[in-house]
Parts: sequence; structure tokens; C-alpha cells
Amino acid sequence: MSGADSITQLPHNGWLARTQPNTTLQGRKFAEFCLEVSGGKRAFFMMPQTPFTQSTFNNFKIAYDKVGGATELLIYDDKKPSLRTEVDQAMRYNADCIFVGGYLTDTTVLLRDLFRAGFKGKIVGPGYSINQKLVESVGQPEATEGAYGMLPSPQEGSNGWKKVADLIKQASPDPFSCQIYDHINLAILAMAQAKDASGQAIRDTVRAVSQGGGEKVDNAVDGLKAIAAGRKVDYDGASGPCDFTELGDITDVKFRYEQVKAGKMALVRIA
Amino acid sequence: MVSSIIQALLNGLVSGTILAVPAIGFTAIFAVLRYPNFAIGSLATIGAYAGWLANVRLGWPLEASFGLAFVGAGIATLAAEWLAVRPLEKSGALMMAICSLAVGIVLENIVRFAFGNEARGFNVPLMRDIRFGDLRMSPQQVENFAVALLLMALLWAALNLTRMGRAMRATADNPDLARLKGVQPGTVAAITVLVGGGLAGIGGMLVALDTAADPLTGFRLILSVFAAAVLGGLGSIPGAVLGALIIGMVEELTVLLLAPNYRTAIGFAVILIVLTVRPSGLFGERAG
Repeated sequence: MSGADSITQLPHNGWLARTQPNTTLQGRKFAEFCLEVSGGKRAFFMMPQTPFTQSTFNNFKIAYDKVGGATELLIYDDKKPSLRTEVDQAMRYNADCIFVGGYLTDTTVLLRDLFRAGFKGKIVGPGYSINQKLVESVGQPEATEGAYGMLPSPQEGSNGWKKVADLIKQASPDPFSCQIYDHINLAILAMAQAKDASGQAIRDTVRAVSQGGGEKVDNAVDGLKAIAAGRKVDYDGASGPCDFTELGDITDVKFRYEQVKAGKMALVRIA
Repeated sequence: MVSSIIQALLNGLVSGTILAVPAIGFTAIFAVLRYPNFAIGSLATIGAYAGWLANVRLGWPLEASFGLAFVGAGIATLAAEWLAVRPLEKSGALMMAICSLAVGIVLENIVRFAFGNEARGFNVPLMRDIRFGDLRMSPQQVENFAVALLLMALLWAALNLTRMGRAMRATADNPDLARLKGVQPGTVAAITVLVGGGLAGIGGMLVALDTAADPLTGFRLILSVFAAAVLGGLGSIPGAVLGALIIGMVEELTVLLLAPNYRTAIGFAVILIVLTVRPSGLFGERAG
């Protein structure tokens, strides 16, 4: 379930396809949303040292560069007890949007310091750190009010998503359960299409059942019937459309956008 | 750039002053018991959570919460000393130091089991920073700075003006001579551990007040605390204060000048250079 770009860039000879969006896709989506909510073109990108920090920022920057915007990256040490000097750097950049890409603990420290520093622009970050727990750990509602969190989202409301909800008996299944449901369906359909229950068969035919047009199916049972009847299938799953690039990355995924409103996470949209 | 450097130095002065509190605790324990207590980070975390418990769960004011942070961490340090470290006294300082590392890991995980992994903020209003031209400082920083200075002044008075303080200094200087003069080494050691751990606890709470309490609050301090104590001279309380101020400022300046992955290297570099060039640190090995 890794999203690191480097995974599919390994010499895997087509043996790897993943439903988790890579950092190229996530970096672009983060930037597009920052541009949209801030209405400006100047973003400061703060993220701790991780294997995907640079690649996420590179793709964030590409999206800003396309519209003539300006970005600056600050990689910080999330084990530092105070991040005031880092926030000073962010304030001096006069950004209209700050992307905070850390985890819950360091994002808590950052948001407290951004509030103290009087930052007036928009704050956007991944949903695994900007969420209800953050609101509680920061402790002062004004410091998190208006901040946006965004995460890759399952295809909420789709037939595949509803089937996962029934299967695992959860009203709102998480992205990873949805992705695993898709993995199993795709593997079964690929084997049926190839008439061969082997790894080689899955490798060679997964794209023949996942994309390229045909009868839309959202589960293996319907797909097997269509394949048996000689019809081409195009699987649309619970996590997304499940269309893969040559490298094995998904071409698109929906994101869930939320905003802190009156101390609670409010859904902005899923798109 | 000049104002960025001044701001970083200002931030470093405040964080160094806060760092000085657990560094004093660390060096005081070393001065009397002659081993580095690496559990000091987790003991700072215990203090942060004890203060949080008092302030948020029990609704106590900050002053009283500092008291619980001190007592909670002090008792935890004393318990760890008696139950885990002291039985290894005959095996030497290295074994005691290794044992303290293990104690630190155990304490950190006890905190995780008891409070979970989430960061927990104190019940204090976040106030906007005070500005002086391009520079800024938060009222919380000023308060923490004042608390740290007050603690250091109280400690100085206790060490220099009370009988027990003089006994502690005598034991740190020359344990055999102190014993001949009628000082009870067991009592002095217990009080030193209690006060040293308590100071670490207050240090943890000061950091958590500015940020939030989480199970790694103290762990993040440990390298800086150790570097400060080594730089100042292990066992020297004024040395720990000066060392902490220097480390605090250097760490903030590195944000402007170096990639973040080198920050950890700064602490290690300071330890390496001091131990190579001047093993006794800036203030030698004498306490007080």
C-alpha cells in the first residue's frame, strides 16, 4: 500500500500494479487544492524528512509553476521540541497558503505556532494529520479553524464501495479495505480473462480487465459472467476506476476534502 | 537575514533556558551518583503528563501543575533508581547507564499504555506573539523563560544557602570527605535523585506547554540535554546552564544554515569535540 514513487520505478518488469496513489499524483492534487482554496499563487511547503518529501514537493511545485506561482520547501526535523524558527521562515515567505505535510504531533506544534505568529492565509495538509484528533490536541479551536485536510478517498457511493460497506459491516469503509477488495476482484478477473490461474496470467491481462472500455463491472461475480459470455469488461472498483499506467500506478483517484468548521471536521467534497 | 538570525538566537535563548532545567537535573544526578541517567528524557515525559493531568483533568492552575510535574517525575526517578539502577551499583557506572536507558524505554511505554499516542495540549489559552519590529516572542515563551530562571535561582539558593544543599555539593566534590563530616550519602543521593528527576519533569512540562505532551516529548530532549551537560562539564550545574544555552541557540541557528538531517549531528558533534578536546567541559567537574 506504499505511495512512494520509487516503488513502481523499480525494475519490476510489469509485475507490480498498485491502487494506492503515488506521491506524484498526491503532490499535484495537494497543489491544485492549495491553489483553489487560497486564490493566490504563493505557497510554503513544510514537511518533515521522509523518503517521499522531496518527490511530493517536486510535483507540488510543478503544479504551481504551471500557473506562474511560487513555492518554497522547508524540510524540518520533526523531533525538534520547538518549531518556532521554522514558522518564522514560513512567515517571512508571505505565503497565501502553507502546506503542512507532517504527522499529528509535529503538525500540532506547527499549527499552534502559526496561530501565535498570526498567520492569516490558508492551511492545507494531509487528512492523516489534519483531522479531529488534531483539533483536540491543539486545544484551541481558533488555531485549527478553517484548516483543510485531504486524503485519497474510496469511490464513495459507487456500487463497489457499497458492496465493501456491506461485506465489512461499516457505513464508511476505509480506503485500504476498498483497495484490497479491488485487488482480489482484479486478480480473479485477470485469471478468468487469461483462462490461466497463475501470476503470469494476472501480470499479462490485468489491464485487459481493468481499463480500455467494455462492460462496467464492480465485482468478480458479474465480471466472470461477462467474460464467460465473451464480453470485454472494464472494472470500476470500490477504491476508484482502477486504471493503471504502464509503470503500474493508478491514473486517477478521488480525494476526500475536509475543513475544520466550528471545531469539527466538515466534508467539503469528494472529487 | 540579520533579523532571521536574531530571531533564531532569541528562540534559541528561550529553548536553551528551558533545556537547562532538565540538563541541571541530569548533571546533578551525575555529580552525586557518578552515572549518566539516560532515563531523563522519559522522566521529562512523565513530568509533562503529570502536569497535563493536573492542569487538564483535575483543573489545577499552572503553578500547582508544575508542582505535580516535579513530584510525579521526582518519585518516578526515585522509584527507578531504587528498583532498577541501584541494584547494579556494584557492576559500575556503565551498567547503571545502560540500565537507565532501559528504564527510559519502559517508562515511555507505560505513558503510551496509560495515555495513548496522541499529543495533548494544556488548558492554557494560545496567545498571539508580541512583536518588536521584525522580531516576535510568544507570551508563553516569556512565561516559560521566567519559570526556568526562577527555578535556577531557587536551586542556586538551595545549593548555597541550605544545609542539605551544602551536603549535596560536598558529596559531589568529595564523597569520602563528606561522609567524614557526617553527611549521610544515602539521604543526599535520594534527595538529589528526587530533585534531579523533578527538574526533568518540569523541563518536560515547559516544553509541553509550548507545544503539546506526547510520549516522545522527553525523548526529543535527551540528546540536547546530554550534549549540554557534556559541553558544560558533566557534574557542573553552571556548566549545564551555559551548555544548554549554547546548544539551544546552535540548534535554532542550524535551521537557517543547515539541512534538518544535520541537526542531530550537531549534538553528537558537540559531544565528540568536547570529549576529544576538553573532556572536562567548560566548567570542569565540580558542582555548585
